[in-house]
Amino acid sequence: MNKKILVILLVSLVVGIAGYNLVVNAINMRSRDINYKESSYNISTDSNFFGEVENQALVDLPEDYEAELSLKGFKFVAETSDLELYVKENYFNLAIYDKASGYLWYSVNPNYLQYMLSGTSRFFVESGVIIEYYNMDNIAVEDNKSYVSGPKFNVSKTYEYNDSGLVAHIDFEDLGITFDVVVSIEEDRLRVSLPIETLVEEDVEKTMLNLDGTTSQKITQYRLKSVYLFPYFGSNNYEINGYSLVPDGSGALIRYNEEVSSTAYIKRIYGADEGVNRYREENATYYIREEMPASMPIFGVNHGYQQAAFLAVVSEGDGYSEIHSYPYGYNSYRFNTTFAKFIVRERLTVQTSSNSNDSFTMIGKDPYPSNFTVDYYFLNNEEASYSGMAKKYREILEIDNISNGYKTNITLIGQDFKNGLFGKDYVEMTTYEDVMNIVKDLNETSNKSLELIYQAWNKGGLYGNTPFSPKISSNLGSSSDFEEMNQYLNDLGINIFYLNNPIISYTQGLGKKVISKPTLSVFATNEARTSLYRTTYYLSPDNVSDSILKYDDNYQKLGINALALQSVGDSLFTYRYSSKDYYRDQMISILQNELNELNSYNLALYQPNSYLWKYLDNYLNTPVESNKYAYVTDSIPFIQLVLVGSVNLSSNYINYVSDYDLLSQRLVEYGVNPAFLLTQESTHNLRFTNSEFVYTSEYSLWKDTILEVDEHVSEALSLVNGLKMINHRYVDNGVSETTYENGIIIYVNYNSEDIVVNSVLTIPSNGYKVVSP
Amino acid sequence: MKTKKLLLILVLLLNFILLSVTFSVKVEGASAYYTYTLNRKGELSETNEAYEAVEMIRRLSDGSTLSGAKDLFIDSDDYMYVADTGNKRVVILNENQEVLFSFGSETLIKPLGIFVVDDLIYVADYGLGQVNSDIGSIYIYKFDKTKTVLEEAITLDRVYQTPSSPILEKENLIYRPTKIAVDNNHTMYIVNEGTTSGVLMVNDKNRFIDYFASNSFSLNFWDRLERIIYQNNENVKMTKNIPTPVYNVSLDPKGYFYTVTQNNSENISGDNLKKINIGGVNFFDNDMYVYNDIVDSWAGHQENIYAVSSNGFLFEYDNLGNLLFAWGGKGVGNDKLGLFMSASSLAVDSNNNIYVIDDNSSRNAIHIFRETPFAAKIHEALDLYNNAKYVESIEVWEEVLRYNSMLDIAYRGIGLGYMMNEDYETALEYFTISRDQEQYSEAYWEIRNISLIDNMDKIIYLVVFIIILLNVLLYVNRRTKVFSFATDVKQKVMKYPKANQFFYMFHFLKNPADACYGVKQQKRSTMLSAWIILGLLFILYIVGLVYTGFIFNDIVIEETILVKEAFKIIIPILIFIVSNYLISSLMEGEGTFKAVFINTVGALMPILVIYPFLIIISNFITLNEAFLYNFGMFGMIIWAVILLYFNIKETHNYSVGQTFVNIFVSLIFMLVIIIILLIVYLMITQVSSFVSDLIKEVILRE
Repeated sequence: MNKKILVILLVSLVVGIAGYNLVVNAINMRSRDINYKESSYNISTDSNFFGEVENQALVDLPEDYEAELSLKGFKFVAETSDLELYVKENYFNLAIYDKASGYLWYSVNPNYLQYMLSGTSRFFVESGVIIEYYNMDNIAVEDNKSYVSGPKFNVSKTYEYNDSGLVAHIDFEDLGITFDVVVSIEEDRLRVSLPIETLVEEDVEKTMLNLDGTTSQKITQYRLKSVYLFPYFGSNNYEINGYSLVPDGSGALIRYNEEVSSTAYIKRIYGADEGVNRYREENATYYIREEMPASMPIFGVNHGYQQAAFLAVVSEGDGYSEIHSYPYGYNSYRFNTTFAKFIVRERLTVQTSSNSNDSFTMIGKDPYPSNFTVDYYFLNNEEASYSGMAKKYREILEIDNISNGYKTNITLIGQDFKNGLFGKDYVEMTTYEDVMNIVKDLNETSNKSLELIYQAWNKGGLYGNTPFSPKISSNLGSSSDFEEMNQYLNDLGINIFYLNNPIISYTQGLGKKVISKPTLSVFATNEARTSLYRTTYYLSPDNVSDSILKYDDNYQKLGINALALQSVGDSLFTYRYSSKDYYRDQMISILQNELNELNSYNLALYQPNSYLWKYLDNYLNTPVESNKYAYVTDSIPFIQLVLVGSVNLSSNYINYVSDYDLLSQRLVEYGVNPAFLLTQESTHNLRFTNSEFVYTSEYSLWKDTILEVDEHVSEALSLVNGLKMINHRYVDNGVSETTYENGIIIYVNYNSEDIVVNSVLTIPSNGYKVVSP
Repeated sequence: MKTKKLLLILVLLLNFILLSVTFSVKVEGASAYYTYTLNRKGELSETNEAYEAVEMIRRLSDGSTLSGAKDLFIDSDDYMYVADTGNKRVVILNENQEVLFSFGSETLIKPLGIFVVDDLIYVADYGLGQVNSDIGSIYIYKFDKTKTVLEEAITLDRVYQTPSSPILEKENLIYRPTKIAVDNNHTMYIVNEGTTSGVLMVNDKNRFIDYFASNSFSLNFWDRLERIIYQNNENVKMTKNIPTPVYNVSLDPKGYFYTVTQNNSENISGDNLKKINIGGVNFFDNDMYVYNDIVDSWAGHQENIYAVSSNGFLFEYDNLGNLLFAWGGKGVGNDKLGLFMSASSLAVDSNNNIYVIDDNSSRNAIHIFRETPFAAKIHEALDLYNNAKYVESIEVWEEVLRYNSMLDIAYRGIGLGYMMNEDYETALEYFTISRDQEQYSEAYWEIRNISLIDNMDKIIYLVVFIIILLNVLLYVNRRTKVFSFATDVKQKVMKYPKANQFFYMFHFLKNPADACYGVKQQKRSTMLSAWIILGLLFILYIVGLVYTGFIFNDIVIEETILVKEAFKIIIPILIFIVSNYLISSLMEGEGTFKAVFINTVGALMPILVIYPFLIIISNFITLNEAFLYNFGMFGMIIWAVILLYFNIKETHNYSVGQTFVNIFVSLIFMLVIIIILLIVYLMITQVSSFVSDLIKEVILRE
């Protein structure tokens, strides 16, 4: 009996186990039916994230330019070795003859009459000078305009000629506004300038007829608001091959085509002025990413293919100017044009109390204290392209350092704090030892060239008392740990930048040099990214170098010779400090001065405006695309064409990017180094701290991606260390060609199939090819 | 200068730093909009891009443009059907958005809705919309996909007008169909304009079956109050008591319906989007996160549902109605990919690409969004999670964490996976990060179970040993009085009056009446002791905030302000005491202020004694034994209340009824005091802000 029971038990056991396994396997097999199709839709190569294939259509050159000009009523003014200047007096139109290319540039499209414009539309196109003004009786009206052409505006002009050009005295008699416009040519440059001291604004007396038949004298005051000088210079439309260059993001082209656009590119150079306008927080559009500002005071126009082009630089008054580019059909104008508009005065809102309804507006009494000058540099033949424009701009900025080439840029967050029950609760994310370990780890896997930025390495972190005095934080290690870390990095030749923010304060404490706006309200901003402080405040820009040089000894003792400065690069505003008003132009020179004094340190700045590029060693958060507005046809690497080879450019943190492959390709095309934001500890520890907005940074999770991106990009870029980028163009749909100084060419193919270039070279799909001469 | 600085200090002392406002990252990415998900507080928080805008098609491949197109449908073969309302036609596009056919311009008047099932194209045509004349119709076209010539491929099969039904005739229904959905039996679900009873359910032969999926009408408390008050007042116009009509309806492959309703409320939550089965039951929360101008929804392949609002915000929900992603929005100024002027409809193809129509007259475009690898990973992980395949999901969730390390659901998923693998310690870690108290409790139970089982023998030995030791000590003490020094110390301490008074407070626990009498007549305790007790209570409260076990602790330390908590505890007690004293003196009570103070604090003694134990045990019990903790808290509070009652009765020598009246009136008077304090506080802040503004202006104008 026992044996039988035993056998039955055994058999049932075996059957049970077998059956269980079968069932489990069956379930698992069903689970493999779930198919996760990855999206097959790739970004189309037609997108304006890329450039368009070069259009090689040529533009007609005038056969007999002198006859054409005299037919149109232009008369000769002056000549240099490269240019000839002509003027047509009645509407103050200019024409430039570029000898080397044989092309004629007009200050208004020569065929504009056939577009049957009338009224103010016509005056806007054909006037050489247009102004906007305020009527002091009602400054709420913003767009009163007056034109040089158009008899009812009663504008008189007198011209004085000289060897290099002319001076035009413009008198808006009805408004009592007069100023001079100086036009001169020198070698290959046309200079158009409005010297501000020639501006006179007088009261206007008018005889008014009263209702009861008597007359009385009424005195009105008009104030100049803004000036357009030759806004349609170089304008044309889709009938010829051409494009406009705007300084949008990394650079953007608006090619002449027939797509009617209801919006246009209108951007203040160097971004909006926070001192005059509300600060950047716009609650209604919280869901839209902040747009990249125009960080260079330039624009350009190219006609034809390798024939004629110009680069225009706003050399004076750039802090108060806007770049406008009107695509086809904007405001019913049927040609494209690009120009700079000078802002002479702005309207300020003064808050008299913290109640937002208690405010009044006023306009500045004096015009902005700066001349306004636009320099047009004419390029011809092979130089007539956006690459040639970038080369010209590089010469103008006098950028001639040599960068140290490809490096993976890693920003490490040291610590942050959250609000504990009894004060600040510090959270350590990457100690000094961790820094060494991460570097060691990355170096072991392959020969990395690294560059570090250490954020919040100091006592109090980044969000504590600013500007901070450089002391070691005991939370992150002892001073010997710090020394060891520095020594280790020095031995490996790795540059480490220590982060500081000398221009932002998180509190409005005593003794802090917090500035105020010209309207006397405290200058609050949300420029610095923090999840805990609702508003932050600006400190005086004058103090940037002092706040660092004050502790020069400490920095030397700690062995720190490289600094990354936040907010200094892209902040530009009008402010008031110590009862004195400082305007944007003045802030530009102050900042340049401050950075000059810091030349003993290596400096890295975040998205700096072009006036600081001379003082840079590293350009961080480089834009690698434009804002991709609908009317923009190409994104181009204009910033890169100017800076690659002289300054180390690194990208935005790749942590937040969703498509690494596309970005790696873009980095190869634009010659930009990859950048990552890392911590040793897991990122969720940053919850409730200032850096809560960083939602991913843990090193162990990112290591593989860093190595992957690094591998893809370094293979190409380490071959062009320290070399300038001299040409860039698209040779096929989604295939770009970048040429470097010594003849090395890099082709990048964004398509998902192989493309053959020049009928011999095959560029692999989603890959690139480096061709040495 | 010095006075100025002093004034500045004064001014600045009046400022506070505000907390917890999340700011967005200044990072230039590929798309113009931010993508959000919901954080654990139910607020939008930024996350990686889930869907990237890749294209905006304005001009179709045949050179025409859309004009105010109001509906879009994609069938299982990825053919796209557009109801091009302004051009009175239907356009069929292939998967590369090339125009295949364009038809209907002779027959259609205002095609607003379109649905395709089994190669039958159903078009809901609104008609001319003129009163008492043309009514709308449903046009049904047969689509032969093998043919390439328009006349052969598209044939008009049937035209249906008002469905036949005595009910509809009685109601004088004017047939103006705006949207349509059709199930596999070819039963049509038609949204008729102005019909508040819901969606019309019409069979294949155009016979009306029933109303379906109507919205409910609910009033909140204040509205009801309003209606009662204004009931008979003809001058006040109230909105009618009828539900909002359904705006749009769609189907998913499993047979669930999704209705979209618009209303005027300002909320970001409500039941504008409903997932309904054939019985009309809504599977979504009636309070889910949804905007009130939602216009269309589409059921995806993995049981997700997509929705779009007229301002161009796009949403993706999981199958339970939890918001996964929100992105897009209204464009401002310049045209940018992914921002809308006015969105009217959306559809998703088999590759999870999203197509949305912008029907604004200056746009008239089809936007295309593609799923990023991040969104694909989340979908994969959620699928495994929803099918309870927790172990397989660990790896996938870890990849998700690389994209966004703040996602609670990823930590929960990984924790569940480890739980399944019986790695309870690791699971506990993950549940702590995701603040999942329930799952933590389960994992903790397992750990405790295991350690109890492992150490059961040791525990028994320990307990036995302690019992024996105690018995031995007692026996020894009885014989030799070795431990009498403890009682000596106690007697010495009690000689000090302060200590005596302090320990007298504990008397309240044993004999409240006696203690009250002792305080009142014999001055057995002082205010100082009462303050000390209050201080101890406050410290105990703070200890409780920090050290209560994870499972029972709902407090977020980082968001707790110490001063606020102090106010929450101490101030009400003090106000009650003051209020009670005042009322009692009016009601001829015998207690002095001191007596009232001390006796009220005495009533809180149970808390002082019991709460520490509760804090300790909360760290060692799970939700299964939650009754212990809850009962303890409850009992402690009840004891305190009862003590309070007795104390008041004894202190003032009241009868039972009088005591109740006293307590009730004291509470009401407390409210009065609080209101007075608030008013004083507001006045002070007003004055101080005026003064600070004045000073600021004077200083800054220098």
